[in-house]
Amino acid sequence: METHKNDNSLLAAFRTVMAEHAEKDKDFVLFVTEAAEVYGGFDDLPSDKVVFTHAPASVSLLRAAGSALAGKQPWLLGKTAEIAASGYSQIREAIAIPKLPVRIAALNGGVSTEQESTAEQLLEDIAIMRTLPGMKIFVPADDLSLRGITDAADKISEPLYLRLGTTPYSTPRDLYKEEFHAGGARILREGTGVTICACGIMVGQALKAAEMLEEQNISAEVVDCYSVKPFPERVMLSSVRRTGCCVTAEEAGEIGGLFGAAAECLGRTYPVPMRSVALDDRFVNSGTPDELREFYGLTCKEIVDASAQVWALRRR
Amino acid sequence: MNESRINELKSITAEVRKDILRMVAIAHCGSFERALADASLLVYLYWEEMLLAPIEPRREDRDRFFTDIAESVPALYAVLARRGFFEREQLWHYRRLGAMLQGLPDYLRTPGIDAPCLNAAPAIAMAAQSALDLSCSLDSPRVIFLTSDASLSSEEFSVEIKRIGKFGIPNFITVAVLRGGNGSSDGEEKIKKLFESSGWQTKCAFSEDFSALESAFASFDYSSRAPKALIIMSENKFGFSLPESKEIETSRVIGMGEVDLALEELEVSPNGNSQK
Repeated sequence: METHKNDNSLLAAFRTVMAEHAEKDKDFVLFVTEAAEVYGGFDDLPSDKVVFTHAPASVSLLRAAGSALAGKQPWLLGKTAEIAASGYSQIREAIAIPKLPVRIAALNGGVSTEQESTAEQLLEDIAIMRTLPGMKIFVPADDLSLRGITDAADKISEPLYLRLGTTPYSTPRDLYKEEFHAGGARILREGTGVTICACGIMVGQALKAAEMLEEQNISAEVVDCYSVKPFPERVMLSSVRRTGCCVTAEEAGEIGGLFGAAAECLGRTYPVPMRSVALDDRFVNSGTPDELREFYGLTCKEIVDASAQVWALRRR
Repeated sequence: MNESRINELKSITAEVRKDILRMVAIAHCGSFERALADASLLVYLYWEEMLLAPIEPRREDRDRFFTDIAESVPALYAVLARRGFFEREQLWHYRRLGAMLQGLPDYLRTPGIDAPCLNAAPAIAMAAQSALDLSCSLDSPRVIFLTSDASLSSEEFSVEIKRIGKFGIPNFITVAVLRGGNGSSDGEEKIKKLFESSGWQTKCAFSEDFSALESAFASFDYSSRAPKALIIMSENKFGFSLPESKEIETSRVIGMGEVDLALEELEVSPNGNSQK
């Protein structure tokens, strides 16, 4: 399948989408933490709709919670490490427990940070957020899924966590006709041999892997699991009942993330052989995102290998 | 405020304190000293100062109450019950499994609770942002944030005081209760300077002095954009002789015998003064 490459990152798409939401929603407000402010590019937003907090995530999160208590529909943009690590207690107490509709957008999840330190490259954010009761988690793969998710967020009156990458994405653009919703997933390519369930930037890699698998006569079904929580059980079960095996691919640690969600779902209902393409249980080194993905095995090649393994063991 | 109203408020405070003792004793857990100390202040706020409608707890133009003092929560519950937000019966289920009155307020379930009570700091950021957003509404309701010297001593809290002062939030009132070492004139001066140097309007009062509380709130210039700070000196005198723990924050279980003794001492005459 033809894939469309562009130079845009999800951050760029996020800015555009936020400007549109600011235009149409009177209660919209975007809080930007001090660390995220350096990325700039919010000139299209009316000045009364964007708040540069000049403060760390811990304070910014509380301000967003306060805004929600006053009846606003706040978004917050910050870096993953400061939000999921430093801001955890604020998210838990001020947002998750009172179920306030604060939409948290986290930049640079996984290995997307440009040559940052281990402390900045947070791989466990999805796992941390998944354990918070009621927290919804979305990992968009491209600008269209981001747009769909942010539209869906307007109908969600509870907290949500949106993980954004700052590196360019690459996915097909001809199959996007579904409505996005919490607990939803997109089947981007149909197949009967193996289910490849991916999120975020790994969706593009999954599609490449599917093409490579086709050459080996393995028909791969690619599911863009943009809603990690609630997990799209129906779509997954329907796919796995056809294929009998599953590979998950995510730019995160393999514990507690998409693999964990898929394993919990399938283990309860329809156990099949599974493999995970994710980072194993370790912290990562500094490096460029591409170098790191190559080094830590977050590429289409690993998805192909894992798919071939589970396909051989598939439930018939 | 006339004498009869003062006596009435004293009488309500005594009843609230009895309820605090009963609910904490029945629950066999939870701190009560700080709750007892803050009872008079909360009674003043909920009976005299705040615009509220117990039958319409989420009314848009109501004044909002925020606090980061978890130890004062029993007092808040007792005050809300007495004020008619929910039945007093609920107090006797405090901290019980499935009860409406949880250890920390359940913002979603409890009428009269305007915000979660946070351990996560700095809670003042959440209250101030709410006030700022509400200041743009037609009614511009006030947000009253109750805090303690424990929070005031933190660096991040000081940073927020400065930030809020620069920004200017006219409908935001921080009520800072000073106790122990900070409840001295030195402590009061230090805190007052912190607020004033950050552009806040600042007043002082004693927690048990309802006239002084009224004067302090009335003397704020609400036409100014400056946020307001009311520094409250608390004496920790509750009107009974319960043995006091060394640390006021210390949570200890209160026995029924102690409660009976305290309740007896708290019996007030019609003029609001203790009978003993």
